[in-house]
Amino acid sequence: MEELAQPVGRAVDPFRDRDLRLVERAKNGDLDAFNDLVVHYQDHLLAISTRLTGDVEAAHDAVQESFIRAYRNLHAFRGDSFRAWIVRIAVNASTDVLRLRKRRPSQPYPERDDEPWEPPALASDDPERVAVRRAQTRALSAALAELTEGQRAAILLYDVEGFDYPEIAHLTGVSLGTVKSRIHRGRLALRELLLDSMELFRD
Amino acid sequence: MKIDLTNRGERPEHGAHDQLLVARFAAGDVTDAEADAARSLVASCADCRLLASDLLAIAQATADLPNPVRRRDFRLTRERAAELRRPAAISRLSRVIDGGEASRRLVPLQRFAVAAVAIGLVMAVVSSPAGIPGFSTGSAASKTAGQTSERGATVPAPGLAAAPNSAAPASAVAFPARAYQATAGAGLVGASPGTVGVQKPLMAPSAAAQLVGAAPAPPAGRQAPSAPAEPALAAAPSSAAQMPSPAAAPSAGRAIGSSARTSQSSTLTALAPPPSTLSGTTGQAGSQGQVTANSQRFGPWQAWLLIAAAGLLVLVVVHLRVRLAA
Repeated sequence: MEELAQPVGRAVDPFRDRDLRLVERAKNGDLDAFNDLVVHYQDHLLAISTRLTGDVEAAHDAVQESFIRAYRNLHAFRGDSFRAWIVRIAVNASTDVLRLRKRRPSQPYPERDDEPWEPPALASDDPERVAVRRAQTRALSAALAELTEGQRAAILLYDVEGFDYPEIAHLTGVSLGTVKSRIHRGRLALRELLLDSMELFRD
Repeated sequence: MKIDLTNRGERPEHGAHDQLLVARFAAGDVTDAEADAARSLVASCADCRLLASDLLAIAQATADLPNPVRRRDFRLTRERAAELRRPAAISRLSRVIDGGEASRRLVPLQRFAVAAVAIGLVMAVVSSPAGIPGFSTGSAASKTAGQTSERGATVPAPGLAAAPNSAAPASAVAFPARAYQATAGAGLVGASPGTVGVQKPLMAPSAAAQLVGAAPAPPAGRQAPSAPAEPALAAAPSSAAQMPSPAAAPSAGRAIGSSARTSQSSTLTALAPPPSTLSGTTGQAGSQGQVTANSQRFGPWQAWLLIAAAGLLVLVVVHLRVRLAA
């Protein structure tokens, strides 16, 4: 069980220097440099935002808002990781979208609820495996949606984005202990929610 | 969300185990002492082992969630970037003016409201008694008499201030320096500035009018008419019956005041009675002026201001409606 003690891979920011050069150019008015940053991070932010909001359209809006906020506040960027900075903005924008949706719940396209938002499977994929993966995605997405905002954000930032606890604490503006608690309790909650479909996730 | 930790087909003793410790152990977030306890739990309890395994599988599945298909390109265009570089308030204002925030049905109303605000504000300033500093307006000159002055002091009613032989034109209200130049040579030409206005504040109106032309042009920084001009004028009650031109009344008064200010502004200020005193010293004509001022409180400039306020109100309502409908 020693392998249990290893967290899911922690990621460093391999593009930090490249990003900082682009940020400097963008600060000097180079729109192409900023758009290069957009190209590098738009898929990444969309993935985060989609998982946070559980709605592709809302996630698109959140990502657009994130880049607008980033462009407006680029002069205020003082950190050493643009990735962490832009992810923080995306998390905040997604949270805003979620709150707005809670205030004014609406389902303009209810028929799209059953559509998986993941990309279509390749022809070479095993159909059974594809079906299992889709079932996993649906079940997990539904369970993630049941978590609190804080738990969901912490789990996604830790498991998907690879940020460590202090980074998540900085990104979400809470204490280190709160981050740990959210992650562990959130996972326990996920397991409880997925108990009936856990066979999908077990090898 | 509340976690239900009750037994679900699990062994009864598992319910008493610290599942949070197992979760922390699975995430590698335990101290050495806690790790020993967790290891013993996982080793001795099959459900705790399954729990730890499930938590790892969930974490892995979360990390492997597929990425959504992007349907937009989020790169900024030059136009959008230029718009974003502007201060947020200006961008929002431009969107409001452009009608970008409103639905199509509301755009005409919104533009009409913007026009009402703009025109109302401009006309309110233009037609206000004070007018625009440095600019002459006929309405300002004609409306000043009988209304309140810039400082709230009562301005004499028409016919109160100007003497029949006043050389100061109506435009002297806003261009006192030009009035001085235009009338130079008339009346007390070359009179010492020190003798003007201040030492004889109660002089006869004709003499006061003559002084207008006698005073040298004030320095550029002191050309704007202001309230201290009125006291010297208002203090000449005997002039009330001799004023043929309502428009000339403030002209002469301000010109005199300006000349006096040029010579000894500090002394004049010290001598100036408060507005309430002024009203009293103007006698009957002054009282009439006060009555007129009270009855004309709702003048054209207030009407324009009302229009602007109404336009602003419409804009706010449209904005709120759009925000609520969004």
